[in-house]
Amino acid sequence: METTSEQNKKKLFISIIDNDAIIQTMLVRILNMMNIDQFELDIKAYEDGLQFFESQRLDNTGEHFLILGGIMPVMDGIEILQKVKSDLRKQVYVLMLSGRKSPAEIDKALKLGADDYVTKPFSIKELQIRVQQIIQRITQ
Amino acid sequence: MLNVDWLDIVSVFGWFIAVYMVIVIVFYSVILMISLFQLRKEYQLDRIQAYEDYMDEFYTRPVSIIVPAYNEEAGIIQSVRSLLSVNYPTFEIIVVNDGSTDRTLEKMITQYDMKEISRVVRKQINTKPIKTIYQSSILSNLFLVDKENGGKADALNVGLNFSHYPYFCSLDGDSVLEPDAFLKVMKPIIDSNEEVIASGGSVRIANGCEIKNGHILKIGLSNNPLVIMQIIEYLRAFLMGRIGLSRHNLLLIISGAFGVFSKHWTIEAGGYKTDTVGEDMELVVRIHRLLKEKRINKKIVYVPDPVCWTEVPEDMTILRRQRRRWHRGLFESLWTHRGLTFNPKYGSIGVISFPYFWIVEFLGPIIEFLGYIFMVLCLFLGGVYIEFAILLFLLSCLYGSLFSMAAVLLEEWSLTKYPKVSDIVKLFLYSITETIWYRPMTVFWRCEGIWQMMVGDKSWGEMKRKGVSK
Amino acid sequence: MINQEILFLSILTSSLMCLLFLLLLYLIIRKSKEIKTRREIESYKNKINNQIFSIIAQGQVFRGMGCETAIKQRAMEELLSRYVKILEGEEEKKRLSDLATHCLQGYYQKRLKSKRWSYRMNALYHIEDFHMTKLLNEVVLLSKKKKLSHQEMIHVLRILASFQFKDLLDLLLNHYHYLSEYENRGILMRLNQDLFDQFVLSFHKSTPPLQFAILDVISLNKAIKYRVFTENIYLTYKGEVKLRALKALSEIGYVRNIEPYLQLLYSPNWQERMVAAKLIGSVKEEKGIPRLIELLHDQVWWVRSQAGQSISQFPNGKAILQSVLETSKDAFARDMAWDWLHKGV
Repeated sequence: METTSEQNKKKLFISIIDNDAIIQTMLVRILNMMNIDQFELDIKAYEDGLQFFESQRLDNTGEHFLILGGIMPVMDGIEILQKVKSDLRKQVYVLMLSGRKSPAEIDKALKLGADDYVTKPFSIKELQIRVQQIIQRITQ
Repeated sequence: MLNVDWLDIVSVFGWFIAVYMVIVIVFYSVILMISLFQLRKEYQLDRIQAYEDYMDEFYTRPVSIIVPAYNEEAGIIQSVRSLLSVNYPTFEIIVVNDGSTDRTLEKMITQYDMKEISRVVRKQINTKPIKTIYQSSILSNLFLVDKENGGKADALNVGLNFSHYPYFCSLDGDSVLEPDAFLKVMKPIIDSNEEVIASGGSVRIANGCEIKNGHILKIGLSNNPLVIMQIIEYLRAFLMGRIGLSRHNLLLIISGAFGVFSKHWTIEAGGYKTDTVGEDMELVVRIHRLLKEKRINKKIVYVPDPVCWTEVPEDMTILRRQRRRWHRGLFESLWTHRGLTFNPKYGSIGVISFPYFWIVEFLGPIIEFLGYIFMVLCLFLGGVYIEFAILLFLLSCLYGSLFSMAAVLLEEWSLTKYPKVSDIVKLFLYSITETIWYRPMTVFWRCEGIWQMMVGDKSWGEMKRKGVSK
Repeated sequence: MINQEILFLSILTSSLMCLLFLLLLYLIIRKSKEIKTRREIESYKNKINNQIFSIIAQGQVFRGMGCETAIKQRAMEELLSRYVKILEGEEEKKRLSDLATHCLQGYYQKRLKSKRWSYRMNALYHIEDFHMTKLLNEVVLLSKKKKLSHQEMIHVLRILASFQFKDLLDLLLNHYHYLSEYENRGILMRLNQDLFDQFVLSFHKSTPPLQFAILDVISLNKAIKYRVFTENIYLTYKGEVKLRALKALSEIGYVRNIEPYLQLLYSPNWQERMVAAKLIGSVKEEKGIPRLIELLHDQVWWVRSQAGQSISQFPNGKAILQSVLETSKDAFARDMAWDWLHKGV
């Protein structure tokens, strides 16, 4: 007997892209600590933008939420943001988690379509709140 | 009668060479000692920590990165990419396409989605005309200036004219910067409250390192003997010569691969000179000269920490061309400013640095070359002259191999950049052999450079770029 | 005759060679040891990483994880250094600090007394990063040391500021008045409200570098609380202090009466023009717009740039810049307008 509530749960693919391994594991754990039961979660971390795009994760049906690092060697966070937002077929939600703090940089990211911008260093609670806010937006 | 005179001359000649070598050895030893003490102190710091406090200061001292590019289609994208993730708050990247005949321009425009912009450029330094200026629509701090071919110095001057920021650095299209390069190099400028107007960082050799997407993933030692010998040379030059000389504001050369300059002073000095092969050294000399003539108390310093990785020739022909060119560049800079030599008006630059460069760096190869000939001559003359030859040989061992061995160990003692034990051993053993093959070879090439100059040969040869990064 | 020299040189050369070989041997051994130690540290770090995160992020109780050996301590130090750069929440910071104090207090106590300069400096960096207030006394003790290097001194003062040491004002005013502006700023930035207030109150007694630093910190924090104070300073002082006060006001973004500042837009001093333009932009005073447009045509690049930035802060800023771009006869002004229209993307 299938529970209808589980059947109706949409999938939410959360992708973390940051070259810092510690941040990757930390974010995965932070997300797992949160109570996100509107969706069935699929959380995966990537070392860089190239690997992310090669994995064709965005092809999966469901909602997509990206947490992007800022200054990264292979593909900069802004570049990934740009590429992801340029594909108009898919709506991807993006949270920037960057060391770049200048208002110009933050402005640029938001203009490019980032849903939120958190600077490093960050507070875990704060990050969780922001993530929740974006997830609320997804459910609507 | 004639016989005796002839042999006397030979003896005198031999002694002359021997005395010269002894003086140089003493000089090198002094510098080695100074470097020894300086290095030990600083280089155990958790350096990253030291720079975080400066972040606000760095913010107010933005840097323009000028990348002159001539036929660099192999590596230009990677170079620019590595620059984009540089750890520094505010900077702009200006790629100057010096009339490339390959697809450098097209590749840049496509990769970074560059759009033409119209911009008035104040001609503070005279240059060849600019054709078009582009700005990346993805990254607003990336510019591309297309111009008529005019050489590296001319391209740098164009970049200088166009740049918006008070500091600039010039970077070869094939060099890879360490992420904290600017932090390390700008620190002396900030610490001195801008009394320091130019700062150079140490250059390391990239051949043999694992580089991906414009970043050093792993430091490694190449297997190519030529590369290994060049590494030893660089270690020696940087550790010994530049620390010792820099400390007392005696620094003359900032290697073309990486250095940050104050734009104002560079323009005051007239920008880069286009008719010389050693344009970076020549500029540094000219700035020094300007400061002394105007009695301005500013400095040029050097940061021994490696900040830049660059490709060196792996092939004898290309290495030979490079060495000939460098030596000619050295001469041109020294000769153009020959008035500084022994001139107390120019302080320690005139009294110590210039003589050093004339006597040791410039004339050195000639004397060494004569020394080699002499040694061979002695073997033929036999008898007491064989002892002479042995004497000179021992001196040249001290002069060459021993100092190189010391440099290798000094590097390991303080900076420890090479990860494997076998790396050090390899470097050490190779440096023992320096006197026997590598040194005579480079000495000969440098003399060739002088010869070419005298004969009026202007061919500079093209440095074929392989592209360092995958 | 030559034989003597040859003998001498041969002995010299061979003994130097021997020396170098011995040094090589020493370095090889040292390096092998370091490689081994590094491997152990990395493996220990991997082992405890998850636990450390749980402690810092979730408040899990610290249990069963030793930090008695040097390797474990170094591993802990490195791991905590990474976390300190990433996390900044109040609770996280406190837990991290407690963890550091528990494991590394003795380690740093020893290091502070070390003969090696780099050991002491590194210890100071970490004490500050990990906010190890329990080591305050040791730090103060270090500052009294006779031959303390300048860099250490500065760092000690910064730590004292971080730890909100109450006698800091006295120290800076009376003992260390030779510090540069930049050094003072680094120290003052770390002070909390109360202690900083003390400095503000002692403004007139302070040396110029300290005064600049105080004003700069007000700028950095955009501390509206000190607006009145800053306006007073602006009125009473001249020269560089006046300029810095003006800059602080432009960062605060509000003044009681904008009229007197409008005059500054015509100052013969380019820095004053620039900072005045910045102020007009922050305050968004429409009366200043015509002059700002003129300043887009200023001789000095910095003034033009600031004018452009200020104009773009007005609600109709883009329209103004557009019209300059289309109508101005000055190429540099058009350039600057274009720049600010396209800032960002």
